Amino acid sequence: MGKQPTRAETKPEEPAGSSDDVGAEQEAPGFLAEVWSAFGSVKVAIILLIVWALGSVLGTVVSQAPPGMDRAAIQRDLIAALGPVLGSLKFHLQLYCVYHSFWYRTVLLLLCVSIVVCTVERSKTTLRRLRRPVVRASLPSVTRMQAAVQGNLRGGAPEETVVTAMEFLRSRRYAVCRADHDQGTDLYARRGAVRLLGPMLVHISVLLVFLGAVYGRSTWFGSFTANAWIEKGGWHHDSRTDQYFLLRDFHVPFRPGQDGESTVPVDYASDVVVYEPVVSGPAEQRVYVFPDGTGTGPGAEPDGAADVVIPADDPRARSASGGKEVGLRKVREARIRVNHPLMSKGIGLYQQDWGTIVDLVFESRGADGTTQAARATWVLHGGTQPREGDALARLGVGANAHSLIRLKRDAYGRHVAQGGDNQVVPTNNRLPLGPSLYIEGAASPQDAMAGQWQDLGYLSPSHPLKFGDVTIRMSKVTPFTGLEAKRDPGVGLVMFGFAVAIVGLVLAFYVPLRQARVKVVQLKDGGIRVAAGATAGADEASARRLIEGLAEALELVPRGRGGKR
Amino acid sequence: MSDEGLRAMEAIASKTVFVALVLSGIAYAIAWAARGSKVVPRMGAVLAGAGLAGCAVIFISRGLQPEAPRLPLTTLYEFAVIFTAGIVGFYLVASIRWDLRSIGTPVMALACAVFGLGSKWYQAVEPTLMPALNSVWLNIHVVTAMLAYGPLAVGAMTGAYALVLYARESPGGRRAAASRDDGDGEASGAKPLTGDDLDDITYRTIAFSFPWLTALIITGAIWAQYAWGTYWAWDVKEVWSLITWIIYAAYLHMRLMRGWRGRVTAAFGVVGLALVLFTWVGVQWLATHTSWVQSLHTY
Repeated sequence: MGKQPTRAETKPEEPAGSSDDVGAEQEAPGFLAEVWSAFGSVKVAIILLIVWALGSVLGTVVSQAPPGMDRAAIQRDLIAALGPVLGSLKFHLQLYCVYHSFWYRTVLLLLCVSIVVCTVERSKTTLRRLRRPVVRASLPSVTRMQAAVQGNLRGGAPEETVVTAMEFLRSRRYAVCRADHDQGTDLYARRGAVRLLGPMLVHISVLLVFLGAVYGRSTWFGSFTANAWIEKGGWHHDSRTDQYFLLRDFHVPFRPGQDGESTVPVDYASDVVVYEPVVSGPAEQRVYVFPDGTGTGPGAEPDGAADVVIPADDPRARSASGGKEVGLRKVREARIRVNHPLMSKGIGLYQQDWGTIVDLVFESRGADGTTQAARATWVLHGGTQPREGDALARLGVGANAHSLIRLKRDAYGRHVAQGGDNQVVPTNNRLPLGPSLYIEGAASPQDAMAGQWQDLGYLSPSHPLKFGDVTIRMSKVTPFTGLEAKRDPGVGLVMFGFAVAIVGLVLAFYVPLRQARVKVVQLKDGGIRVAAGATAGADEASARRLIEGLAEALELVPRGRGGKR
Repeated sequence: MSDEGLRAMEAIASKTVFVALVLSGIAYAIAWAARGSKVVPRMGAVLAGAGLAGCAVIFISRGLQPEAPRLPLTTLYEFAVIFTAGIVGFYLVASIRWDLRSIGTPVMALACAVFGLGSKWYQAVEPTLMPALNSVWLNIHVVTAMLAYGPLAVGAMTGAYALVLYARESPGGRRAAASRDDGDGEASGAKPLTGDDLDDITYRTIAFSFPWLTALIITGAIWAQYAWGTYWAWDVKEVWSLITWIIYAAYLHMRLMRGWRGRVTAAFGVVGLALVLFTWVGVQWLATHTSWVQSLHTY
């Protein structure tokens, strides 16, 4: 604490109702005052905490709908699953999204109000205690402290005793306040008064976290989350911040296995280059200039990595003017890994996923010699098995037009690949980045519904499969990195709230507040009566040591055995 | 030391922990029954110390594995070892200050249960971690968990014993207990612990661990911010850790602001540990064995 109070003349606190309100007209408190008083009550705070806990429990035991699902579809599903009464109840009480429901947010709002009121109310007392501690105390309140002593001194001046006590307490790094009155002098000393700020800081920190969460999650303030699946060499343009991200390279190192690499990734890493336009301007006015000097025309989107990049030291970049784009300038390069996001202009790019886009071609040669073709695309994610329907296709051509093929889910990610004549050979294949997929087929949708799937074997770019009269080819395999672009402007506030919480908790629970009181009273027979007491929270022994030391310094003999001077 | 040597050392240490904790629990039980002995409770403490040392040996031997040179704080087994060390370590430190012999047996039983549960999930050291676990925040997160959960476990035991003493101190209980005496403190000549004393110790352990419990949630949130881009995703594990924090916050408000003491606050200490254990084990079990609970925190 800053400057230590010394001989401050401190007025004792007046008992409640002793001054201003004596004789004052008793007025019924207004509605707002009652509400304020209710929210300032600890009982209400405890009730709100328990309701918050119970509501949170509810969200973990009742199945929650995936985020972003259509409300009408949720209502339909709930009524179908639970019946019209329970389904409607669950829907209208928003039990399918407890943590975003109106009532849960209301509880949080009420809790915030309670914290605000409690903080304001307690802060007044806390600051008053810090600035103007109550120095005067009754004799019983001194002797009832954790450690206490009292006795008489048969000589000397009271002032000398007071000064000795003050010097002793200051030598123990106590801040001492003094109050002189008709009967004598009272001393109040304390150490670790900063502890008093702890609870206030903790309450403020909770508010900061809530505020940061609301600020950060609200789209009004520019918060967003977007998926950015980028192929190697591909681009992602963030229109909100007008940044371009080029995926230069993408690595998935795999854990060593018995026969080389296994299918378990150790890390996902995306090498990304960040570009920004040389001159900001509306997209439709931009002219993208290629290195060879040709332009794509206003509003044309860049197509291809190298084509649009102009180094910052290029004269055309420096001469950009007139609100027209002349190119993109490289801002930085970074490797994005799990736990190591790229932060750029308030946007975070997080490594979340990886996988492979597989382009399939189904070909059938007709009786007239012409070839019919159909296409399908599967997006296979690296970390998770494909869900039903993710890797399913109808052939759509030839006599087997209604036949279906799908990725055999059990074989997904298996550490195998095809050898000659479709023989399975253990290899370093890294599905789904690897080129082979085990395929099964059903001759008709009815067969598929009946679960009558037949193994067709491994499909790879160099190894087509035949199903009936249809040839299945893997025409292209494109690995992609799954980045997530996020902007949360409230994160800083939340982190600040966390820091304040830690400081507050350390002050509140780990900084002991040690207090001591000394009462020196001049007796009618000329003697001096001294009472001293100390408290030190959990560290009662230190309070005892302090009082023993003080008694020794004052040469105080406990009452009943006579004092000496 | 060779890979095999370290594994052998870990196996021996693992058995040592279990045996030492069981014997320590028995020693404390004998001390409780025999009342007057000073030697037996000391033996209990020495054996508990041996269990703690065993946990340290497991920690070191796993950390020194040449194929995975990192702090062994990632698997459920490794967390159970740390949790056990937290319980036993805090109990021994707290015993210096308070006379906790009467709860020695339940504390050692709890430590054994945690260690035994962890052994059920034993995994040899994995050479590589899943990408999300490669973070310094994981280490900080787990260490804060040890510093929070260990004292909370001891606090729950003192709370439970306080409830037993309160039941005995009630008119009916007093009659039933008239012919017997716990003997707490008799050996050392100290005043026997009362229900209020134990309730006070429960409060002090919770007050010690609450900042760590908060730090546990905060470090987890910071880690999640780096890994997933969001400090809070309402994942089941996150929510249950929040519920635990709320309950302890309510406890501290009741105790500090309302001045509540006695059965209710002692019971809160026990309920709090139940929530801690559910957050650690229950959520993990539900997420891996049921379809309606899904969690990102299943390792």
